[in-house]
Amino acid sequence: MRPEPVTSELTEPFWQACRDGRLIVQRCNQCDTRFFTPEVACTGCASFDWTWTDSDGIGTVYSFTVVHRAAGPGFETPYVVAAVDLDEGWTIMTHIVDCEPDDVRIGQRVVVRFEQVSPTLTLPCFRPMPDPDAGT
Amino acid sequence: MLHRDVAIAGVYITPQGRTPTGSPAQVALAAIDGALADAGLERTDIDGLAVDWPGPGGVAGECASWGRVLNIPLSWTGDAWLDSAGMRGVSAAASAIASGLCEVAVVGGGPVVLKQSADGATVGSLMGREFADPWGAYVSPQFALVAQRHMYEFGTTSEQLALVAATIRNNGHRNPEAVMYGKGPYTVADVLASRLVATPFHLLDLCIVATGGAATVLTTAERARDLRHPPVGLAGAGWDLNGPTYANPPLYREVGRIGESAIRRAFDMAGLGVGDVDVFSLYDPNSFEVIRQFEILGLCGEGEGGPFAEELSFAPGGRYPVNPEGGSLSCAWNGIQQMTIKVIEAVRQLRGTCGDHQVPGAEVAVASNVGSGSRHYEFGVLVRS
Repeated sequence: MRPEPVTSELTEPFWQACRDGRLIVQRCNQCDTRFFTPEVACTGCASFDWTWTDSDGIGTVYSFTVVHRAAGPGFETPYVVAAVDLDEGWTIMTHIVDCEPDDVRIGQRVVVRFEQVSPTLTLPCFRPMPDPDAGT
Repeated sequence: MLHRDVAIAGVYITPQGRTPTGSPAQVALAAIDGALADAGLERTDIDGLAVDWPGPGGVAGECASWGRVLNIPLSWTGDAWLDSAGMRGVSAAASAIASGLCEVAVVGGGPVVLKQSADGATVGSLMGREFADPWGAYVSPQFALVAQRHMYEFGTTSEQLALVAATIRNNGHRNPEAVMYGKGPYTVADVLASRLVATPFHLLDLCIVATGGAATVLTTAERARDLRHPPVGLAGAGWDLNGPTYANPPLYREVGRIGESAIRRAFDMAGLGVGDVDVFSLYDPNSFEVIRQFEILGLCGEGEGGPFAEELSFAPGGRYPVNPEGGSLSCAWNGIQQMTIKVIEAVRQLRGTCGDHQVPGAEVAVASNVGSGSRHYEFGVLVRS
């Protein structure tokens, strides 16, 4: 079994949105910063005045690693851990899926794809953006 | 009083290996007693303490719990966990001594049960981080994210990483005290042929996993002069912290230079520069972190750490010898107290007691802890007094 995150009042809306197939992020109502992982106050201006907002889930691979030694039971190797910069200006630790690990590249454009791990855990992962020139 | 008015008077490393030599509390007490004996001091001399209390009994994680078992009053304690180890613990204790809060402080301990680990293990296990664990992002993959970006931006190669790993591992191969004594020697090709753990890291790019304890005893330079060994002064120290550890993906743009300000602060405090350093006891959880430290130390420019490694000035006999005992890659890694071992190796080099891996005439040594993947870095400059 993969580890299930221990959620909190702060983070539960994020995980619930994932179960609903939506990627959301905190946006500061004072300075418009989007920040992740969840914090009680804005990482731009420390304001407690923020709201969850929908993300387009489109971004770029900032860095990645192909993991061959699993973190524990429930992980099939190899898997690709990545840091993805969302176009909206925030960053998430995630997996790159739906492609060969050897084909992942820094700078690659990716889009969110939700993976249901268990009835209670749906993970936002990312897959390569379809190539607009494909088939032409 | 300045940091250089504080000295490291006693050091001790318990037997390191794959199997524990006792309970966490027993190993910690062996480290404390060993360091006191090395200094020529008694338990009753201690009035400051930064040693994690592992429990059971007492309050786990509270240093003050040691006061009850040792039956001594304490006038200063550190916070537990990272503050009980390495340059962070030693410089905090030195500050307490320098400010007059205590006079004799012990810093160190035994294997620490990670507070937030699911299984009590360390490297390779998950850490209770809500936004890392579900993706299997344990320590090595997190450091790998920084290394991979460095390779992308600057062209650093797996061969350069492997050269660092092989060189430091071969130091341990020759050191009878190293856990991996006699297990080499390794070539670059051996490192590259070992199995991949998390790209770009092969198994031999990564530190070993063992267990054990270590401790240091600090006191005023004045009192240290009358003790068993020539005192080693702490000439300068600095810390650099960048948010919660392992909670967010470490990004090169945020943590690639972490430690640079700590190094500058420590050298400024010491009135010394990197060119004055005779031996480098650098944190080496993986080969890449050593390359990154070449850069933040100013031994080369940003992005030039790979080519700098190829010059091999960090190898035995070179101008900038790094981890002559074998480092965490080969000599010892034990969870938290490997940070203290970095300080102890520097102290022993300055005492001139390192035998076959002694850097001749070492007068200035530096020790560092942790790095980019974990978002904190502590650094100290030690001098022979």
